[in-house]
Amino acid sequence: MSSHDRAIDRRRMLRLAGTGFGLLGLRGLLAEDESSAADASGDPLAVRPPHHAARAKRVIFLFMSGGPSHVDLFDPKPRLQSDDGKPLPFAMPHLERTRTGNLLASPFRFSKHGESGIPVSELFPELAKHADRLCVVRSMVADNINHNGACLQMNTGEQTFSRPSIGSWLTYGLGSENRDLPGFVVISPSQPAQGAPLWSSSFLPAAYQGTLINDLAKPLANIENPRFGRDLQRKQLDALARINAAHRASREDDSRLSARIESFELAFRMQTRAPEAFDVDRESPATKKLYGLDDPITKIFGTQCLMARRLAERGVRFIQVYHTETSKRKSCQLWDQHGGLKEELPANCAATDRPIAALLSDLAARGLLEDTLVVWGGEFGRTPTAEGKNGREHHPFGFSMWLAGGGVQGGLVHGATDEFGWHAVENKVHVHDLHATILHLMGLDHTKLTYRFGGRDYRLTDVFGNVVRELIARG
Amino acid sequence: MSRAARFLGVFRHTARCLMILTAAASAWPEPVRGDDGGEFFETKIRPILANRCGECHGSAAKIKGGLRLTSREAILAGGDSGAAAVPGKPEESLLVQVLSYVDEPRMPPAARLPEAERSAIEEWIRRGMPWPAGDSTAAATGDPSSARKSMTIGPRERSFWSFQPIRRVAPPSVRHPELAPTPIDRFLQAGLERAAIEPAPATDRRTLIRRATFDLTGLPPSLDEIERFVADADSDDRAFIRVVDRLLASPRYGEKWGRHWLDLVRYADSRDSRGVGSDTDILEAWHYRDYVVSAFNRDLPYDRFIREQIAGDLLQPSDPAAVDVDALVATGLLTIGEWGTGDADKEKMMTDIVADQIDVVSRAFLGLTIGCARCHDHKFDPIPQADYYGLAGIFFSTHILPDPGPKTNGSPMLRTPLAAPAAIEAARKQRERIERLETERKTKTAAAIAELAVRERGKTADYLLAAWESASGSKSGSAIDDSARERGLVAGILRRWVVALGLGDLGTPLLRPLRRVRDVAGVDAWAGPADTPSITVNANSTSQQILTFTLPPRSVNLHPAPDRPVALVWRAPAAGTHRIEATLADADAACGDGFGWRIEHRRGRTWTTLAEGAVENGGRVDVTRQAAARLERVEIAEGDRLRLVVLPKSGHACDTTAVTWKIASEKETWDVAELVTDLIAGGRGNPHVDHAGRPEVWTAVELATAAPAKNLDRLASFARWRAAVDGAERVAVAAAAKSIAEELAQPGAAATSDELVKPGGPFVVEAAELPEELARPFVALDAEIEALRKSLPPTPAVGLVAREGGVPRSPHAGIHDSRIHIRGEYTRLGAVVPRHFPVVIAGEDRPALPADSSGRRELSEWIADPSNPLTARVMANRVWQHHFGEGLVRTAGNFGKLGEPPSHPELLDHLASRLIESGWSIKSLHREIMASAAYRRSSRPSSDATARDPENRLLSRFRRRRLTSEELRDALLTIAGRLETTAGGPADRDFETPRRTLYQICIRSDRSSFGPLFDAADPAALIEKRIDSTVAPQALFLLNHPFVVARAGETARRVLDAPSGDRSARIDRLHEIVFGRSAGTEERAAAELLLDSARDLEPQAAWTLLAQTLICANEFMFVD
Repeated sequence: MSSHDRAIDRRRMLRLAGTGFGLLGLRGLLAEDESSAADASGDPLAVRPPHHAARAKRVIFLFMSGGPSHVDLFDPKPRLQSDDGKPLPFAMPHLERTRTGNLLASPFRFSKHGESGIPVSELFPELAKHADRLCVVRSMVADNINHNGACLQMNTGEQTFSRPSIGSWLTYGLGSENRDLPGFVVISPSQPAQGAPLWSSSFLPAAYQGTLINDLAKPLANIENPRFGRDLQRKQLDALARINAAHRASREDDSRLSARIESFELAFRMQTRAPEAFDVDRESPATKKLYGLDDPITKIFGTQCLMARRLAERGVRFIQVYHTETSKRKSCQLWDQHGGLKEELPANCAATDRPIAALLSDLAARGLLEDTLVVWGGEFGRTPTAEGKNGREHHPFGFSMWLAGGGVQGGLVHGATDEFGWHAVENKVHVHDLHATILHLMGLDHTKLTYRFGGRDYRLTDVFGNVVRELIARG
Repeated sequence: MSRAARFLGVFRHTARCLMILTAAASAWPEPVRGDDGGEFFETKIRPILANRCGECHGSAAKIKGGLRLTSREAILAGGDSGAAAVPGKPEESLLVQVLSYVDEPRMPPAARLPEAERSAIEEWIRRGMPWPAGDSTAAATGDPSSARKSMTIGPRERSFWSFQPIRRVAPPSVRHPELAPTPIDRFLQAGLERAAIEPAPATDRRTLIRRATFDLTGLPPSLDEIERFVADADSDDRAFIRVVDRLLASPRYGEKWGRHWLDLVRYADSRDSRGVGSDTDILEAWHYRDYVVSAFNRDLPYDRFIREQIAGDLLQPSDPAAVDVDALVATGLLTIGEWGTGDADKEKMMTDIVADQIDVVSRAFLGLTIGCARCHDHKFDPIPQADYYGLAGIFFSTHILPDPGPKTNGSPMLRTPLAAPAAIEAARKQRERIERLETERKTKTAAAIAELAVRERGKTADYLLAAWESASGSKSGSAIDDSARERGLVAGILRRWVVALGLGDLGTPLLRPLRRVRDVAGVDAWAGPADTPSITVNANSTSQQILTFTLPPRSVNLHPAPDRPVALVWRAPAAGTHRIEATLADADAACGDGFGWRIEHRRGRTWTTLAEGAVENGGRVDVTRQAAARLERVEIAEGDRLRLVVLPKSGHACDTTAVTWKIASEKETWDVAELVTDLIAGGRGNPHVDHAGRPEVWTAVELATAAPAKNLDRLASFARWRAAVDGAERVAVAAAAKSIAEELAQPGAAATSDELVKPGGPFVVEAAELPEELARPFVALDAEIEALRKSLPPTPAVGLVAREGGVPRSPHAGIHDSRIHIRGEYTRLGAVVPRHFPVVIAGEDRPALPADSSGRRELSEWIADPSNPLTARVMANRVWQHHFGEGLVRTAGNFGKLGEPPSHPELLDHLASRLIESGWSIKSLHREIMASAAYRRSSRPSSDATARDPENRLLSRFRRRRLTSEELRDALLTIAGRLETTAGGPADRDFETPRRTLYQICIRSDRSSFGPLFDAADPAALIEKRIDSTVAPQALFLLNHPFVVARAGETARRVLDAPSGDRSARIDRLHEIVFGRSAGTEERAAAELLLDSARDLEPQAAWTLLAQTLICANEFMFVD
């Protein structure tokens, strides 16, 4: 058993033993456990060692809410072009929302990029320049055909019930490198399908909950006092410390009391430091331009990506960037092209292409890309068959996502769908496998990262999941 | 389970068929062996099975899907999905299906087999699957996959402590009886004496009353209550029990203890913030919340509480005129769960609903995690999978949805009127009668309309001319009504002619009234033939949330059609200079992309745009501000029109637009808000009179896009008409009108002429437009309808009630047993399990459940039976836990093997017995527990107690606890003097509402508001015990949130308003309000220093700062 296991187990044991203390209250007890020096601070976000050497220290998950169309973006299908308008030559699975029509050729051209020659749609000209950094998985498989369940699965592994999200599991397993900031931040100007359950800590302690930033102009709640200035507030905290000290004098045994006293000091520090972390205005004009902040089309997602980089730099463990708003539309399902494929898909790509490319270049230039795992995708793909004349239905049976940085093999296409882009047929990667792989890259064994709740041990991957070793760079 | 979902489609069906066939397959006659079938097998089949399938389905220890392909028997026995093949029937054989690669799963997973091999397998199955004799040893000796093990339940399993009957044991004798005045204390004292721990002394009265008051009511005691108790000359025992009785009698008690129960049963007011109040939502859940609060306040016997929640719909009085609403809404326990929304896979959803119900019933009442046996036999407790499906049959025979719902969307909830069956029936009959009369009215009206059309056809020429005159405005003051009246024409027909002749750029009035939109009183709408465009008014003084949009109070709202704008037209009754003011706001921010708008002025036949623009989704525009120059002084002639147009953008369904509009001349002001009450009050809302009663000043219209005169185009004389209209000479127009009328009278134009009197033709009016003399015969009929309407009893409230029978129009409809779902997957069905209760407790010889009812009633009676070993123990333990912070069994929802054994088993049984003996009175149990010395001890441990019993399992001292999120907010409102104690009803949506936090809306998808920040129960899970986290955002909330600052200000105001002006007295007063005691030396010094630092501030601000400091202090946040 590694020291990490011991730390986690001990913590679990103490929780189970129901001392009634929050994690912050465990300082004295945990201090006995010499292997968990970091835990001795009692801070639930204290850095904890991984199970094995980590390839990535943090994750930026770019979530294209609504289900981006794989056959129009990363999975070109010549048969789709040649058989345009013909029926799918095999039976469709019976899980369907609406019966779609015949095959629909992609209205967009693909070309090969980089030394690896990975095909990328013409809709991503900037991103295509990073082809050799991308590890495109074309054989993703998910289980749910509607947004809510599929989004829930992509984020928590479970389609129906409340479970901790991947960001919560990572923060629980590894802590956060920055104590003045939350360890798990979600940047989403509009609410994606299902909302907060996607970043919920569920039964894990609340410290592992994702912190939602939806107002890009005013990211943090309660960070400023409406009435009293900073100096006066300092005096207030001094008075509070004296009052609390008097109260605690006869209650020395209760570490919850001192934990709470310290939480006020931390809050006070956060007031000065956290706003700086979110303030993209501190970036140089060149950087802002790189991310497209000068163009209304790219400004929103560019701001999100730039904010993500600032947080990554400051040690936030898991940053999720939802694409839910363009200059023209806001939607919980922006990439949900039941219709308007020819208009909306290019618009979505135009809004995200430059910011994503900028994020990759910028991370690389700062030496951060090698230990920052960037993941791109949505909750599922879209049918190769037509819905109406200009749309595609939801499609979890085979779709594409990509990873970059953080120990993944760039310039790789992994897995394949059949010749129509319907079923994943080669090297299928289920959502559970993706989760197992992300945890693995972060130094965690998905079968060992567990939490006991309601009488059993839970994992992010339930009883499933295999690490997809082929995606991992040798090194 | 998740991978199961891929196992779909034909398999859902065939798997079921296969299960039925499995039994038959085992009796299948042995094939002829040793014939050429054997050779076929050896040459064709064995190599395929070995090479293609052997790796995963061979004889290795670890096999996939529980399936071995190593013998004929093993194939017939099958794996998790049932038999892999049916001899002689390849088309029914799973093996053939998976090889065909049509649907998931597909085998072998790497690649499809060559055609030759697939057809060989088919052929082999068709031949009856010959397999050489003597080659099936694996099966004969008991292939592990064919001999499915079942969990055995014997004496060893039944002997587990919690399954044993409750035993009543006399309290032990102790060495220091003076420390153990009550039976409860003697059980505890025995443990303490064994560990040689001295219990802590009794706490002081001030601490005790704060502890008891928060415990029983969730509120701090008032200063007066504290002082009275402290000054009470009676003995500690008697004085305190009086406090306890007072608190138990307070209605605030149910609000606190009801909340404990609501935590446990995943209570939420709404499932998703994007669909609050939609038909898939559970916004009526508050009935259940109020039921729970009232049940605790009434001290409803706990056994009855159980029976009502599981089967209240079956406990209704036999008299159909009576109803037990409490028992109906009690079944909310089963209806307010979480099972995802918007799932296309309805079958999965129905099994998830049942899983939720089994989980809540088994954990809340029995402390058993039966849900763990959904996919396999319970790993730790003697609960075989069959027991899960025994219960599942009961809940599959129950429904909370009217039907499975649409695939593309969430499933609407079943809503049940909370009224007596007889009353519902009477109301239904009355509504039917109204409908009949209305049909009659409609038929008669239609006849009258047709008759009118034929009659008026003779006046075609008059209509043509009048239409031209009205529309061109050539006749002064020519409202269509006036014009029609003067000429003896019918206004509605004239209006239609205006449109039909292409003169209709005035638009078509929205004449179809829609009363009580979505059954909301005071919300009425008018539409054209389709649902949109429409105009909706909300006459209520509160905003109304309907689907995704919110109608502001007393508002007029326009909604365009996807292809047609909607407009509100104002016809000028008099000439003058007018000023126009208007605002438009997107009332539906949840979706869409906003809308476009225009303000136009019509003089003669020409429309001029005064202002135009577009509004983003959720946006609002103040037109006056935007285009002041053009709207400030508009010269208007009598008969001119102004109109406010709302144009659709994409996503028109979300284009509901709230408008305000005022037009002011020097003399008077027209405000569209006038319509609000008038539209509701008057039957004929549109077109509408103005404040002075002038007709047709306001008209909501749809703007036609196509010219509707196509029938007339066929007439030769129509060309003349066009020319005449363009020339605008009255004489020429009159002549052209006459010639059209004449041509229409010719036999050659009969078809066109007939079109005019058919529905849609200009002579066919709406019922509301019938002239008075034709409408007169309906007066009596209308009066009857109106009287019947008025005497309709008010629509009863609806609740979320569980009902008998599986989901209608689903495979579960009716009463039936369930099949085992292999690995929890509904696509892999196993044997049918009769509905029954967990065998380890209920035994095996219970009579079968009735075939004509779900068995919920019997289940509830079995759970509520005093002989059930778990029920009373589990509840007594919960009550204990909420008093002492920990249960005697610390895993309150798990009395199984993975739970912890009780620290004091005899005490637990003592409490459980007392609960039953008291007639299941929870209040009696409180009284007994709180009378104990243990409850009244100090929370400060002696040093030896800390060392010997650090976790305080022996209860030598009381456990300090933090305020819950509800207690924190309620305490803030209390010290600020703001708390309002109005109880019950729909949830509050405004955080500022000064009611108890229990009534704040709890939205399941919301994890970012106040409650979750302070560890409120996660409404998506069953919460036995709250988490106690301490994180900086909590401190930020208390330091900076306007709610806290405002409450601190009000608290400060109370201190400043007190008669004593002395600073020291005020500091004391503040401490009394916040902490319930006066200030100590150190606190006084800190307070004075802070006030000195803030001396530049106004006194109110300075004292607010100090009050907030005390609010942040640990003493306020913790209960000793």
